[in-house]
Amino acid sequence: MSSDMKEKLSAFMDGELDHSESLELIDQLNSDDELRGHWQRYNTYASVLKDEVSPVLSSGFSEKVIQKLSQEPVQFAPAAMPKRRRLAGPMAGLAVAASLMGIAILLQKPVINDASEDQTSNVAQVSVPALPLPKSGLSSTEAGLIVANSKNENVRERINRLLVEHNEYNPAGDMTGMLPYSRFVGYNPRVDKP
Amino acid sequence: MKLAGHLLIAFSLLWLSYAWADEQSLALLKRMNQAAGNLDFDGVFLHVNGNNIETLRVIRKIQNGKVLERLYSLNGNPREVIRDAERVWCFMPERKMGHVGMRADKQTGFPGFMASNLDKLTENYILSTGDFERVADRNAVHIQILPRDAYRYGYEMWADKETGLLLKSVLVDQQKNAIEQYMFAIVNIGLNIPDSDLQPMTSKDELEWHNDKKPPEMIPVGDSPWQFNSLPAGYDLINVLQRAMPMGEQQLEHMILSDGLAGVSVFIEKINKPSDVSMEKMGAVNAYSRSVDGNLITVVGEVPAAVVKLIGEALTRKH
Repeated sequence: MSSDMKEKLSAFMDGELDHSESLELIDQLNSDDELRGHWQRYNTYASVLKDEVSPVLSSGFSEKVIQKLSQEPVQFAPAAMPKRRRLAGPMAGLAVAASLMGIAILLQKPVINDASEDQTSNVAQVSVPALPLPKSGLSSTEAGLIVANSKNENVRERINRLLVEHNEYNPAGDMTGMLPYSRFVGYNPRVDKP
Repeated sequence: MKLAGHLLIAFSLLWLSYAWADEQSLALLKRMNQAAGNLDFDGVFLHVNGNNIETLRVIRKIQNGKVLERLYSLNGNPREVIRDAERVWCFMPERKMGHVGMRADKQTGFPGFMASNLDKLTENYILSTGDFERVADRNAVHIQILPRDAYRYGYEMWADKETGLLLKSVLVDQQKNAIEQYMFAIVNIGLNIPDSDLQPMTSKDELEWHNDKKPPEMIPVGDSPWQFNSLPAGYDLINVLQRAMPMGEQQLEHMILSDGLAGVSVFIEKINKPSDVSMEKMGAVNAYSRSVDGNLITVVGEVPAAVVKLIGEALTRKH
């Protein structure tokens, strides 16, 4: 889309086109699918700006937006400043500053830095291929597994003892404290038999 | 170009809102973590696990700067666990046995949840905070840590507004189905707790005690004779320990994997005869076992059954 057309769309959204220019643009919107797509996206952005859309958007929304923005060069320093661009300078400056803040946060998400948590770890630097990421459907795979719950109490008791060791090394245990030990304490062969 | 400016601000605000949501959630989780370490409390809670409901009591007291905790069931076998900063005592009176294990060395070994990088956590989970709700007659804030895929479970948590203590925790799958729940029914925070409440109901003298002869020894990950050909997305091998089998003499290799929140343990021990492949489901915990080259591999974790199976099948001996 040309920068002239972006200008026109922007002005149209701001009600700054005169009657004939508006009619001409509406005709173009009716006949140009790509332009209509831009129009719809601009309206969405404007709605977000006005807080008309919940910030909790569908997954992938932001990625799509970034992709689209990267394809649409933004002029931060227009050569001329016609009437309909009168706010572009200060707004663009503010926008750039805000964007840089956003990008900085994106690039450096907060990490807890308490001294008590500044621990060395033996985190593996061993590269292991990752299995494909399922978005869903593992439950059906899980259902297909033969979960042959052993009737041998010794097997279950053995796993229960291993769980005591596992609890100590489970990251979530930092939050849940002793609660996971309930599995050991509450283990009752009479009840847990399959 | 007013629109371009608007757009950039809109996206910046969006990103900021995401970052703030993460930060807010993390701040609450951090507070919960501190509460788990710094508060005295005495409470009765429910553990709902499939069709089983257990009622348990947990007591925690800081005495001369040292933490003492006691957990026991109010029904059935009078098993209990007593824990201090260094050791965990497991009482099994129905078997006339007890076991003393060493606690994970958080200073030099396992990094723990709150030391994890937020990037790692948010790669695999979506963090958000919700409204205040009432749990155990206290005001609690709702925190969600939901899985981004089917390779892990998530948590819905309710933390005490005043102190940050975790009052309710629900382990959920990707569809938010509850798998396991802990919920305080009554909890007293900050009250004076008599020392007698931290004494076991079964005398230590009545049990045959098995002790860890020495603390688990951490070995460099690359030095392990075992390796994974592949892992479910998001999981990394973070530690390898050599230790004794709890309540046994047998030496084990204990490999610990994590995705930033969920932990999976892989135990490897020598056996005399091959064992059948088996899958066990014990509430939220899934376990998978198989034999490899005269060793029994057991994978356990609060993760979907398919995950323990995938991890167990991917383990091979280095050549």
